[in-house]
Amino acid sequence: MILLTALTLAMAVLLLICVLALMDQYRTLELVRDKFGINAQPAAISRPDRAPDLVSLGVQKHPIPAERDFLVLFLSTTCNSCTDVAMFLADNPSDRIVTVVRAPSREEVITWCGRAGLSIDLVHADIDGSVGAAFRVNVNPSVFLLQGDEIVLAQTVPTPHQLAPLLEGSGTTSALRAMAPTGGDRP
Amino acid sequence: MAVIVAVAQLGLGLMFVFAGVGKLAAPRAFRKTLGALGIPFTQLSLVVPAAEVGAGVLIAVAPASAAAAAAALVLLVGFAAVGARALVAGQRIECACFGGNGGGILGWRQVVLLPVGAAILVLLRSSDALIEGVDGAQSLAGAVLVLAGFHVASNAPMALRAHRLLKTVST
Repeated sequence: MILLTALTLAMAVLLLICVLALMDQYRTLELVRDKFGINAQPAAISRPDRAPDLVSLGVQKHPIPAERDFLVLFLSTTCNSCTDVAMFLADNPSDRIVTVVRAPSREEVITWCGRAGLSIDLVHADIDGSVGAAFRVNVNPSVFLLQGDEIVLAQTVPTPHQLAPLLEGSGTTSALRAMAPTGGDRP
Repeated sequence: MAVIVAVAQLGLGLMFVFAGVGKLAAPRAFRKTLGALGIPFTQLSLVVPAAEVGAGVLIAVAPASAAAAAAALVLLVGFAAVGARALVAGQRIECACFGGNGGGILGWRQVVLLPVGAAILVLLRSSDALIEGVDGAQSLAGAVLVLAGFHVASNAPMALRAHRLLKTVST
């Protein structure tokens, strides 16, 4: 009986140590999250009723097949988080995405892409802002998920981590819709 | 009277155990406190919490024993001394009395704890209505488990946030 009681007490103390150590790890994670701004959540943004025609805007040479999910990512040479997203894209290229970069000149876009390691061939330089205006973009980085002429998702991309699951969507919009931030599923 | 004695006994024992366990679970915070106090012996970051757990268990199992009183008094006097030293020097040092669970600033609380703790020890030495032996150990084990459950419940939102963060980072 004494042995059993001693064992119970020792186990209870060990359990408390484990619980408190776990809480300490959680607290450390919160510090890391705050330090690196990982807590930034994507927010829904306004969008046009129909997806603008990417061919007439000069973004794409050929129309996107209606059955295929496609991403249009808006970046700017003047925002810091856009550089992070561009660097992520350079490491994770995809034929499901077109990147539109807002800048005052094409030379600035080329320089900026070079710094981020992103191929200029994968980027559309939006010098006059017409593409951004057609999508009603007023915040960067932001992303639109297109299915045919329908925009099924429009949200900000505070960190590259939020772009990864969209790139891995592989044609199933239902899972991506589920990831939409509050109020982001419909205009 | 018996209830008051039992609450005082278990309260003091649990306080020592919780303080010791908190420091063992997150030794970094206590090491920082020792560093701020200019105490270079890093071994103390293990010895002190182990002594606290030992004192807490002794108070629960053998509350009227000289060993329990001596262990508790040595710790209380030590804490009061560093508290008084911080007050005199005007230092603002994080206590880490309960490890990562905080404990405020080192100072008056540690000084006041000495007479309060000493009074409880005197009460335990003079009382006949004590929980001792197996009953004391079982009571302490139960209290420790309740404390663990309370911490899990009260920190659940933080745990969920951490889970979401890890999920975000891993994608």
